[in-house]
Amino acid sequence: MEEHDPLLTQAYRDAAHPAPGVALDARILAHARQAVQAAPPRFAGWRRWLLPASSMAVVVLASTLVLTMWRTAPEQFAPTPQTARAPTAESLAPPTAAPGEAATASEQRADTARSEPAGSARKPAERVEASPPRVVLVPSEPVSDSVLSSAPVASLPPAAEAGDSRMPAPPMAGRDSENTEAPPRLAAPVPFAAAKSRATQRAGEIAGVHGTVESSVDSEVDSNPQQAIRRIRDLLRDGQHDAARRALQAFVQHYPDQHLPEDLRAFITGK
Amino acid sequence: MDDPRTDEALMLAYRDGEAAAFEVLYARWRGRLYRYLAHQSATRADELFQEVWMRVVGARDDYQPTTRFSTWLFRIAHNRLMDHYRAQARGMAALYDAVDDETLENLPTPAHESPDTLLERKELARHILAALAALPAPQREAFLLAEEGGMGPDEIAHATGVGRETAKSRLRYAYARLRGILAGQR
Repeated sequence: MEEHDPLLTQAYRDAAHPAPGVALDARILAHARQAVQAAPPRFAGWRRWLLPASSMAVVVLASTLVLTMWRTAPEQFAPTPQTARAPTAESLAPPTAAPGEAATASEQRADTARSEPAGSARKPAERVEASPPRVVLVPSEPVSDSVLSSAPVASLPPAAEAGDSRMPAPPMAGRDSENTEAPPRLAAPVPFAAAKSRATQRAGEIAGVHGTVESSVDSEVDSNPQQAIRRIRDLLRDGQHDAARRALQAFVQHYPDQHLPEDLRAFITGK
Repeated sequence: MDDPRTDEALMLAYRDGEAAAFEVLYARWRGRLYRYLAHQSATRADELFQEVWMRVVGARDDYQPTTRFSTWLFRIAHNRLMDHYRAQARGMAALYDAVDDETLENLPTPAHESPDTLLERKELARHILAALAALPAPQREAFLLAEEGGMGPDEIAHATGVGRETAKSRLRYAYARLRGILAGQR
C-alpha cells in the first residue's frame, strides 16, 4: 500500500486501544454456540443428502413412468425395429387407419392441441384414458415441436397464476422464451441503473453537492434490501436471468448479513 | 487457539455446525473489529460490536467465501455503522453518501475534536488517536480498515461500497493528515 507508513502504524499500535470486555465476549460466544446447537447441522445435513435424495427421486419417477407406459401400451415396448427409433406420424396413427386417414388424424391432433390451451394440461389422466396412443405421442419430434411453438402463449399465464404445479414456473417459462424469441436483453439492467442514478442525485442533494460523484456509497436500492429482493424477483419474472444474477450478486456483496430467500439462493447457486 | 485453518475455512466449518471454529475466528478478529468500531463510535462500541457478531452468526447459512472473511466481516460492520449513523446522526451518513474528498478536506473540524485541543496530550500515540478522531468519518474508516482489517484500496472499496479511486483517495488523505500530525510532534 503506497500510503503505508511504518512509523504511523507503530504509533497507532502503541496507543492504548479499547477492547471488548470479558462479559461481552462471553455473551457473544454463548450466542454463537447456542445458534449452532439450536439448529444442529440441519443445513449441512440437508446439503449432504441433496444429491442422493434427488437421484433417488429421479429413479423412482422414471421407474413409475416406465411402468405406467408399460401397462398402458405394452406393444410399444415390443422389441421390433420400429420401436428402436422415435415414433413417426404414421406409426402414431391408429392401427386400423389407412395412410390417408393417418395424415388426417395427425392434422386433427395438431388442431386439437392448438385449440386446447391450458385446460389440456390440467387433465392428463383423461387424455390417457380417452386415447391411449396419445401418451406415446407426446415425445414425437416434428408434431410436438410445431404444436408447442404454435400453441397460444396466452394459455400459460392463467395456469401459472392459478398455482398449477404441473405448469412450468414463470422463470423457466421465461428462459424457454429466451431461446425462441430473442428478448430485448439490453433492457435488463435498467431498473438498477435507474435506481442508482436516482440515489446519486438524492445523495448529492443531501450533501448540497451536485454533479457526478463516484463515491455514491449505497444506492437507494441498497438502503432497502426488501426492495432490492422485489426487483430481483421482477427481473426473474421477466425472464431477465443475467440481470437478475448480477443484481443478486451485488445484493449478496452489499448485504452479506441478509438472509437470502430459498428461491433466490437456489437460483444463484444454480441448484 | 492455534488453528492452521484460514478464516474462510473456519467460517465454513462454523456454518456446518462446528461451534469451536467460531471461537477461533472470534479470537482472531475481536480486537480489530472492536477498535474499528470504537474509534468511530466510542459510546456505542459495545452495542455495535455485539450486533455485528450476531449478524455474523445469523448469516452463517448464507456464507460463501467469495471474498476474504475480513472483507465480509467489515462489510457487515460498515453496514451496521451506517444504520447507526442514519438513526443517530443523519449528517454523518450523508458524508459517506456523496461528498468527495476535496470537500471533506475543507470541512471545518468540530471544535471539540480540534487537533489543537487534543494534541495537548503528551504521548505520540495519543496524538495519533486524537488526530484519528478528528478525521472526517469516511477517511477515518478507510484508515481503520487498512490498519485493523489489513485491507488495500480494492478491499476497502468492496467493504464500503465505493469505487476504488474513492477508497484510495480517502486513504491518501487520512495518511497525509496523520503523517502531518506525527511530523509536528517529532
